[in-house]
Amino acid sequence: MLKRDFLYLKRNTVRTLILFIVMFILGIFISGSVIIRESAENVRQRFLKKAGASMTLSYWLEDDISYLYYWNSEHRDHQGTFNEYYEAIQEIINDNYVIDHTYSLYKLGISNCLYNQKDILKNGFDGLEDHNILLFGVDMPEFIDLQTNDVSITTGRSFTREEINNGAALCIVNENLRIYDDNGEYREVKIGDVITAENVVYETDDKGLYAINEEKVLERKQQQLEVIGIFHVSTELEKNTIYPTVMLNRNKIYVPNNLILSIQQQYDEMESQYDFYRSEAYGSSATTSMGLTNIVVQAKDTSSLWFLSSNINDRLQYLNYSEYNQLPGSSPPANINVDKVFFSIIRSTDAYQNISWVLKSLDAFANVILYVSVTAFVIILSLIIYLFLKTRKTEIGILMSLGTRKSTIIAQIVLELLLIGILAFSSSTAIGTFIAEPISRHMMNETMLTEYNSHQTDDDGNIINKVAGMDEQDVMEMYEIKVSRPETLKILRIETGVILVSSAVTVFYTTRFKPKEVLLG
Amino acid sequence: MKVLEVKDLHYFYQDGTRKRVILDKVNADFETGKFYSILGESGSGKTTFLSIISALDTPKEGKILFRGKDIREIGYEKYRRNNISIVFQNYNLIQYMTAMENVLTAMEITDNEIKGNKKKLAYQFLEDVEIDRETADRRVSRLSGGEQQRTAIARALSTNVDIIMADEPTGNLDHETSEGIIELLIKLAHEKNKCVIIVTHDLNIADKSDVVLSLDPKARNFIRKDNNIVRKQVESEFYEV
Repeated sequence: MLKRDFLYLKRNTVRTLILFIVMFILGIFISGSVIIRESAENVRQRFLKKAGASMTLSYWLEDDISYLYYWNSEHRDHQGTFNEYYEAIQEIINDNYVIDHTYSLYKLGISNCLYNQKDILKNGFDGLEDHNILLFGVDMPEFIDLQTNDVSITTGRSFTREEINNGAALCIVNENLRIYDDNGEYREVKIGDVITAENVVYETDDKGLYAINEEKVLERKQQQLEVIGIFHVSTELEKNTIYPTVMLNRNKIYVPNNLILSIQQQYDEMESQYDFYRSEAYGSSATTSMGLTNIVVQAKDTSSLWFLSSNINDRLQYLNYSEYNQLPGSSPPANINVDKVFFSIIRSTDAYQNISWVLKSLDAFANVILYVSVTAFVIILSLIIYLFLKTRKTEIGILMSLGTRKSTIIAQIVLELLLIGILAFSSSTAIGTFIAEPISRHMMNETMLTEYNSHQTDDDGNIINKVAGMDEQDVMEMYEIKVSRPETLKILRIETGVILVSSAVTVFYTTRFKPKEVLLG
Repeated sequence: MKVLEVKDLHYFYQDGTRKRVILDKVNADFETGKFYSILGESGSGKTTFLSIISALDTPKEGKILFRGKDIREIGYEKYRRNNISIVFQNYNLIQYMTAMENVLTAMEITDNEIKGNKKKLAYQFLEDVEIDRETADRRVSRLSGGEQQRTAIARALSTNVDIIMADEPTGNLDHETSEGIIELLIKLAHEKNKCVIIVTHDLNIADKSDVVLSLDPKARNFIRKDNNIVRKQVESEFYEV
C-alpha cells in the first residue's frame, strides 16, 4: 500500500503539490497558534514556579499607625492583641500545609546609645531610631536577609541551628556600628566584643516627663550579647529609598528569636510593675513592645497556599479593628491593595493576577487563530480531497474490481494525505515558530508596558510588588518561543486530526462508490 | 469442470414506480477450459449479466455459485480478489502506472499464492501477451489501445484465477488487433484451462466460442447454443442480416 502511495504522489505531482501547499499553510497557522499558547502557558508556569508557593503575612499593630493611635488614646491591651496574633501565627506555621517558614521578632527601643550623635550627623543618618538598638530576631542560620542578599556576613559567622533554638546570647552587627570599649575608646566592633542592651525605667517629673538621668533610674535590666558576625548591607539596598528604613539602621542587631522572647519577658515584668501607660507615673526608654516582622510561609504547593491563606484570613479577620480606620493618616502602606486592613496576606501567586490577563489575551488570540484555521482548513481540505477523489474514480473502481477492500482503499488515500502532511507540517512548524516569535513577543511587550507596570507600581511609579519580585523584564525573559517535544506532538496531533476529519469525505465517497457505474458504464 | 453456476437470476431496474425487468430466471453453467460468448443486442442485459456474475452488482433474486458456493457467502470482494478477473472494453488500467505496475498491483491485491518474484512474473505475463519489456515499462497512458487491452489481459492472468470475464474487449480496437486479442483469450481457455466469459455483440467472436449464450430480449433469458454451427440460427433470431 505504501509503495502505491509513493507511486501516486510521485506520478501526480500537481495534485501532490496543491495538497502540500494547503497543508503547509494550515501547518503554519496551527503550529504558530499552538506555540503561542504553549509559550504563554510556559510563562505562567515559570512565573508561578519562580514566585513559589509562599506568602507574606504583615501585621501593623506595631507600626506607625498603631503607634500613633496608641500614644494618642487611652490605654488598650496592646501587648495582649499582639500576643493573640503571635499565638495564631504559631498555629499557622505548624499547619500541615506549611513546609517552611521564617519570621523575625524585633524589639525596638532597647536603650543604650551605641552611636554618638556626631557620627550620625556626619554620615547623614536620618536618626529615626537614633540611639536605640533594634534587636532583630532570626529563626534560621541562613536567615531571610541573607537569602535575599540584602545583607552579607563579611566577618565571622551566622548562628547555628542549636544557638537559634536555645536563644543564645549572640549577635551579628552592622559593620558601621561603633562602640565605646572598656578603655573608653570609640571604635569599630570586632568579633568577640560584648554589647549590652538594657531596659531602663526612669522616674518622671510632675509633668509626666522624664530625662535620661542615672539618678532617676528605678530599674535596669541588662542583656549581654556576644558578637559572632559582622554584616554588610548591600549597596543596591542602600540605594532603594522605599525599602524599610529599618534595614539601614546601623543599630540593627541580629539575634535569635528566642532571645528576644526572653528580653520581652523582662520588659513585661517591668511593665506590670510600673505601668508605663500611665505616663504621669513613669517613663521608660523601652518605648515599644516586641514586634513581629513579616512572616514568610512556604506552603507545599500553590493550592495549599490558597487554602492556607484563606484559613489565615478567616482566623485573623477580627484584628482589623474598625476604629483604626478612622484615624487621620492611617492609610495602609502602598503595597497593600486591600483598603485599611491591619494585617494582610500577600501570596507569591498574587502577582500572577497582573500578568494573567496579558497571557489570557495572548491565549485568546492564539485560540481564535487555531479554531478558525482548523475549521477553515477542514472545509478546504475536504473540498480538495473530494475533487481529487472524483478524478480518481476509475482508479478506485479498478481497485474494487480487483477485489480491494473499501477499507483498504480508504486507508490508502488517508495514508497518502498523511505522507504529504508529514512533509508539509514538518516544514511549516519551523516557519510557524519563526513567525510566532516576533508577533507574540510584540504583543506581550505592548501589553506588558501598558498594563503590567500599572499594576506593579504605586502612584509615584515605585515598584511595589516585592513578593514575586519580578518586573516586566523578568516576565519577558520567561517568554521563550521554543518547540519542545510535547509541543511538537500537540501540533502533530491537531494537524493529523484535521487530516483525519477531512478524510471523512473519503470514507463517505468510497463507501457509496459503485464500481459498476464507472467501469461498465 | 463446472466452475460457475447461475441459478434463477432475476434483475430489474426501478424507474420510479415502473419496474423494468432485465433478466428473468436466467440459468447458466460455466466450465473451465471453455470460451463462452454472451451474445445480445444493445440493452439486452448482457453487461448487466456480466456485472452480476463478476460481483460488481447484486441480483434481485437468484444465486451465483462459484464451485458450488454462493458468492455472497464467499464475500463479493473476496470473490473478485481471488476467483475472477475482469477485462473491460475501455481497458480500465491505472493511468499513472506502467503496464508492469498495473499487473503487479493485481498480483499484490489477490490472496492467491503466486510463487516467485512478482515483478519478474509481471514482466513474464506481459511477455505472454506480447508486450515487451520496454513497452511494459511505459505508462499505460502512452500505450496503444491494443497494448492496453493486452496489459489488461495480462493483469487478468496474473492473479491465477479460474474465470476471466471480458466486457466487449475488442469494442475499441481495430479488426486486426481484435483478432489477436480474441485468439489470446481463446488460447487462455483452451491451453490454460481458464473459463473465459466474453460479453459481445460481435458474431465473429461468437463463431469462435465453444458456447454461445444468446439473450432473448423478449423472454429476458438465455438461449444456449453449443459451438458455432448455430450462427445462422442466432442471426435469424436476433439480428437483421
